[in-house]
Amino acid sequence: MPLHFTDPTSFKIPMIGSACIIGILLFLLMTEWIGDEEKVVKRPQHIAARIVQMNKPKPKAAPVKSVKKPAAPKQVKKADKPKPKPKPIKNVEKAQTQVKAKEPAKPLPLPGTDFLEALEQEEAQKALNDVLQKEAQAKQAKEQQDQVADYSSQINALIQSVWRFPPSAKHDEEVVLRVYLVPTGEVTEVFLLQSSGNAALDRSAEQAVWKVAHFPVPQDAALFEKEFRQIVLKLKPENARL
Amino acid sequence: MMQRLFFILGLAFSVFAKAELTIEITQGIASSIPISVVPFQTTASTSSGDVLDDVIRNDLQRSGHFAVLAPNDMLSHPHTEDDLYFRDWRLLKQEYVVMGVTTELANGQFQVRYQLFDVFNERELLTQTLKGTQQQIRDVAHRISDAIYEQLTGIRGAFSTKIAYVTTNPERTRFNLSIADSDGAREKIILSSKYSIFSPSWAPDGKRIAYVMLEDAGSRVYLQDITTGKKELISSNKGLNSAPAFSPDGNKLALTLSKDGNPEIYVVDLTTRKWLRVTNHYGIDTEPNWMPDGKHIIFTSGRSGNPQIYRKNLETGYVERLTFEGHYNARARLAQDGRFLVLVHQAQAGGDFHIASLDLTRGLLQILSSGTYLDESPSVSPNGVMVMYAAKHNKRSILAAVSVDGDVKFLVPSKSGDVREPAWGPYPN
Repeated sequence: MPLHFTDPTSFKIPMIGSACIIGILLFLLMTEWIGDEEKVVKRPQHIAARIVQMNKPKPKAAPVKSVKKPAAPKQVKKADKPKPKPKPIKNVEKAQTQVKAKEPAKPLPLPGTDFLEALEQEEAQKALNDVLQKEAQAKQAKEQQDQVADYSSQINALIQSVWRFPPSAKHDEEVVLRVYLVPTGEVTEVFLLQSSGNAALDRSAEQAVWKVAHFPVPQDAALFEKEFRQIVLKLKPENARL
Repeated sequence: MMQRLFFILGLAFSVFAKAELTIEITQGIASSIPISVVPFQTTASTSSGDVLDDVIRNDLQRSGHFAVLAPNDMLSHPHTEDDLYFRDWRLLKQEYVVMGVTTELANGQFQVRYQLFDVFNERELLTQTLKGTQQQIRDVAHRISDAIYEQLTGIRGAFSTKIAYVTTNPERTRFNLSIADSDGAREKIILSSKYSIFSPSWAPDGKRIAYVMLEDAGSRVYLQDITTGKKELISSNKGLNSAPAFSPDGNKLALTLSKDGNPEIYVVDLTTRKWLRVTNHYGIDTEPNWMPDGKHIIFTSGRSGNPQIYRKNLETGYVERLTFEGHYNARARLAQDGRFLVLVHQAQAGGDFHIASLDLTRGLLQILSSGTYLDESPSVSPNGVMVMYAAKHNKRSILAAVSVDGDVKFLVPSKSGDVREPAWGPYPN
């Protein structure tokens, strides 16, 4: 069946076809988004508080869909462009059916109102949790302190085991170094903060840091940033003969 | 403007206020430093048979402060920076690497360029170019060892120093006063006599040696110029003339004389020949040695019944006993600016004589020598690190060396006969 630009009826089947394709595309887009959102929700599973927050976008996604909805008519319009009036009637029909089809999708915003309630609930919970959290924080701070002490003593032991000071070292001399670490514990830079006055002793201290090369540091990123990103090492050869 | 000022101030305060995590390390290891001296690349043919890097390796190893890797155990033998892979040396647990290139020059001279690298800090610490004749290979090697040693330990190297000692043939009919490198190489006899020679003592300039000769008429103290061989009589008093010791400025000599009946310590000014009596006691006072300040003399005295070490202030006349541990302490020498005494020590009557060090600051006595007996006449290297002494070993008198911390011990090889009375020379000028 040849297409005749002068005969609008000859576009009937292509129009239906394109409308169907658009409809399927829209449907696919919608379902994909939902799928994506679910994935996003799953990722931060370990942070309970965030799960609630991530639910927020869900209702937002619905408005997005409604934004998309106008897009559909646009596409229809594009299809219109080459066509004279006769078609629009059908397009309107199609659009209406599409709108109807979309309206069932609209219920999604309803969870939005639920979410507002959820937000309030959350805030209430937060207030409740605050007290608990403060207690937990105090506990955490103590744990962090213990962790810092634990890693510090590990670092101390490691350096002691490799620090070979020169025979000219005196027991009351002191070298102070600043060591820069990356979260894996690797040493990136060693900076001499205070020389002992004995170049050989200073060098032995720097060398000890590079010999260790890999410091034990806490896994907790926040704690690492707070305490271990850069550390100061004071090296005193108290067991030196002199 | 004000905001910026506040910002900067705030920043400054935050820097001060932020308590960085500080970890204090108070213990380390005091063991030998691992070092690799890669065999030098050489285009020069050595006529003397001495290999530069062999001498350096021996020097560093003997010092006790280094653990030297054997060339066979190295993964590669680089000569230039391009061939040096720090990772390889870290694998071998080496902390420092020395590389060098020797080239032959015209007129029989050679030139050596060497580099010292820090493996863990991955940087060059030292590079030097030295020249010499074929006969000076050992001198150049010792100078390189000195430079490396000082750079890495913080203590001046003493590999270029000489030692003096007395050798005797097995029949004890011929006595030689000899000088050699501190590793025993290149021995040179500066005096040969049918009389017994004792107590060689170096002048601080390293050009003269004082010694005692037991002649038929009695003991005499002589001063001899090393290069010219010219000798000068210093003391020929009635009775004992012994134990010469130069003052730090080289102008005076402390001696033991018994012209007044029992051995006492005297000081003679070498230019004016004026004598000064230092001790006055009915006990035996002998074996004087100067403190680095030139104002104190330490000596051995029997005034408490058994030999012990005392110190006398020449200005105030104040005498102080320094040793209290052990039955017998004698022949004291000073190490490390007078902080340590190195002496002959006998723990109890009838026990073995050993070389011991006494830390005058902490009051700790440590026995250094072992495996030898009848250890005598300790002499300390000018950097205060090593002690050379005479000892009985396989029924022969030989020279042995031990570090002042007691960690390294080695015997100095000798060809035949007895070797005694070592005296470690000063730094060469």
